[in-house]
Amino acid sequence: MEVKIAPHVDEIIRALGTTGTTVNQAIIKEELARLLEFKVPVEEAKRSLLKKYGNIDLPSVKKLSELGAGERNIEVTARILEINTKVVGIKEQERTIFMGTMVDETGARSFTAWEDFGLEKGDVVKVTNAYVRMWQGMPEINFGARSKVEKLDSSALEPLLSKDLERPVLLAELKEGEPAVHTVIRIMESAQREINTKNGPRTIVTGTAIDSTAKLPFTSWVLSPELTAGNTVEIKNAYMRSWQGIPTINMGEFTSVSHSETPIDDSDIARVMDHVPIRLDKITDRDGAFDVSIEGNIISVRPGSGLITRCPECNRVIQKNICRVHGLVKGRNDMRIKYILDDGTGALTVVLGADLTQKVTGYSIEKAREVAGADMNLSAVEEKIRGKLMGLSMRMRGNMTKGEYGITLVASDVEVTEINPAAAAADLVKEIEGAIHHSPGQGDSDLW
Amino acid sequence: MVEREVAWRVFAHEFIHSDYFFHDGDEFSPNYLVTPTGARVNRLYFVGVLTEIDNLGAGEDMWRARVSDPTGAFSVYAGQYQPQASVFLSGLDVPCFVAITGKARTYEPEDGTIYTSVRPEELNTANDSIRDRWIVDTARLTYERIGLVRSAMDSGLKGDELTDMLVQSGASPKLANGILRAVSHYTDLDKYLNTLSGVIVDALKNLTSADQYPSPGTGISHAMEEVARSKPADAMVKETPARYSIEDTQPAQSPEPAQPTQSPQPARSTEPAQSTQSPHIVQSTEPENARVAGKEIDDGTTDSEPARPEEDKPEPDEMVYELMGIMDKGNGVPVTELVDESKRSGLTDEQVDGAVKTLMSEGRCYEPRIGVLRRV
Repeated sequence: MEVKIAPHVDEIIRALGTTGTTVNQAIIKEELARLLEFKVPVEEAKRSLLKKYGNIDLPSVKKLSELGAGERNIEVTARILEINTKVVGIKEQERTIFMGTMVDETGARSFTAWEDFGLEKGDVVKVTNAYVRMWQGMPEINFGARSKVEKLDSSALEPLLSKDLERPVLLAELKEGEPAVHTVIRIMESAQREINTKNGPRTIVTGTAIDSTAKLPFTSWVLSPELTAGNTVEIKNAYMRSWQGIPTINMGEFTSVSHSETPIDDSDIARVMDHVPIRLDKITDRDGAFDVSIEGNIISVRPGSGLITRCPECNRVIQKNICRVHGLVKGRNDMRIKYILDDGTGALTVVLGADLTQKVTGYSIEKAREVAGADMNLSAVEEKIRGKLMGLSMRMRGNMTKGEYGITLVASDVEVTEINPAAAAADLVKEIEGAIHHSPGQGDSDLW
Repeated sequence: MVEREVAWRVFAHEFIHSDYFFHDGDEFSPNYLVTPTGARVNRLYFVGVLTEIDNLGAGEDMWRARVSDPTGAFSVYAGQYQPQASVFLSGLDVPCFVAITGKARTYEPEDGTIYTSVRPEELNTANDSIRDRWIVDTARLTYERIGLVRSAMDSGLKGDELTDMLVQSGASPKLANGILRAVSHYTDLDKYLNTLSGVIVDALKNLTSADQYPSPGTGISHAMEEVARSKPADAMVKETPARYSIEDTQPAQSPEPAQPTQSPQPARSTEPAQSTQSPHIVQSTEPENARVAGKEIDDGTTDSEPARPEEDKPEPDEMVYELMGIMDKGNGVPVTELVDESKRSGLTDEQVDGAVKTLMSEGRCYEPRIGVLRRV
């Protein structure tokens, strides 16, 4: 034990020495040993002794992907991927700050430097005594006058770039909150819109982007002539934000939008355009999905399906004509179905509105009222719907979001799918027997 | 947010050959049944033919149902905590198509064997097209899992490396975890996977037309062959070469007291669609007849189509139907006796086989117990 402790004790004494504090080595040794006896991790033990005797706060060394809101006194080592200046008004004074993105082997994070540290794109820096603030829903590294920024030899830290930053990311792989997004998209549709911000009206471009894997909405805060329907553009340094539960590509003043050398043509996006259903295990691990097609069995019709009553003021679903906001109201009848769609690889909740409910059940609101009868037996309607739907194979389109109640897709269209079981069975038999004869043990099935 | 458990698609054959149950963490964490192909089943969804329904014991409200797919049968138990399922099951006439979402359960008698069953969550009547679709989907997913398990066994990888490889090959992390567990738990896995592949191919071939895929070892002849194994005197065994052997893969499974019909599994003979294999149907001008018949026992959730005209019906069907009535002393007729008697009346094995399948698919006879037939 003695042998192991000694170097740590020396380190503590040295560190305390830098602040002009001298402490008896025996005391440090004894206290450190005691902390270790209590199974305090050695780093933590050292930290507490430094704090106790020298009022020194050791920074905690973090990787970018580990950073959480409110952390302070952290140390990160990362490469500056992007840096831009911005003039902001702080206490009625103009001040230049530096905003950008830094990256280590675990991920990328945006940062704000409140002082000029002379940073440049490509620098590898060790930042000590930085802190983390939430900025637009994502942790952001902040450092200023009290922080220490040390430029490191960039070539010595090449492994930091092991994450392949030059590779454009496919739309289906984009996650909410990602900074420094690099992707190649084709613009499906785009339009300029006037919106009101707290700094007055602004013109933005919104639209839909597509690639071989998915469609996603985008918002550009800067007008760019390249963002025109049909164009293929390469986008660098965009960022992802969730808008109404759907990951949305955001392009700001530091985003570069350029014409792509290799256009995405119709054949590349055929699967997405033709609404080829995506397997549920491949979609439920996304943060959200826009106008996506899925297929599976209705394995459960959820309570609250069928005839429902809504508040005429706020559209909330109400019971016994009492709205929790508007009190006693004269409810308005509506229909909806909530069911679990499951394809054997994943499951999610699907919501059908009145029109789609009628499409799959044949019930208009009037017909549903008839089924409910004079005493408005709503469970009778629900049971009828369960009897009609439970077990059916269905295909639907819509936006998928994740929330506290799980994964939900609000359908924009739905249809019952029929296959020819004999033909499908024959195809699969051919595939299985072919695999047995030609390459045993290798299923070359289409796992998309 | 708690992620909803996926309803896995597994054939009865694989389900009843699963004996690895585990649960992680505290008492509230879910239980999983790991099947030989690595499906980590907490919930499952299947469509099959309800062949038996019993109310177990007085006072205790417990219903037991057998639901047959082309590969075997699921045991379904609904007790006092599944009142809707109990009411639903008790109101059904056997046989009929049902779609069931439920939880995997196990029962371990003291001798160390494990029997799997299903506790239903949601049930509905179904029809032949929903059932056929389920067979195709389940075959596809099972076949994919078999491929993944094989590549796991061939890779020589372990732990995280194996997980990475499986995920790279398209498995979900859950499936990859299940495959790791299956590979380390099940002995003779390779042999079982071969058997299961054969079972899948048989199930699929039953859906294809008979002239396209003639298959001697399938359908009721196969089921009868299994019955015959326990009665070596039967002549049919010699004429129907086995595609695979059930005994190969069923080393420890012996009939469970509460489920006396565990094995073998001639329950598959209640599959109406299999009658498309029947020579009589092939001669018929209406190859879809079996399906039409299947629809008629549906509760009306789909439009029924006109049934086959009476005059098309080949004679052996009626002869067997008659014999079944005459020989029934109140408890049904053992298949083997029916076959012997029919042959004495001049029918061939194939004709009896086909006749029974047709009668089943038309809902005119059913199988109250394994290996026993009875007129409706």
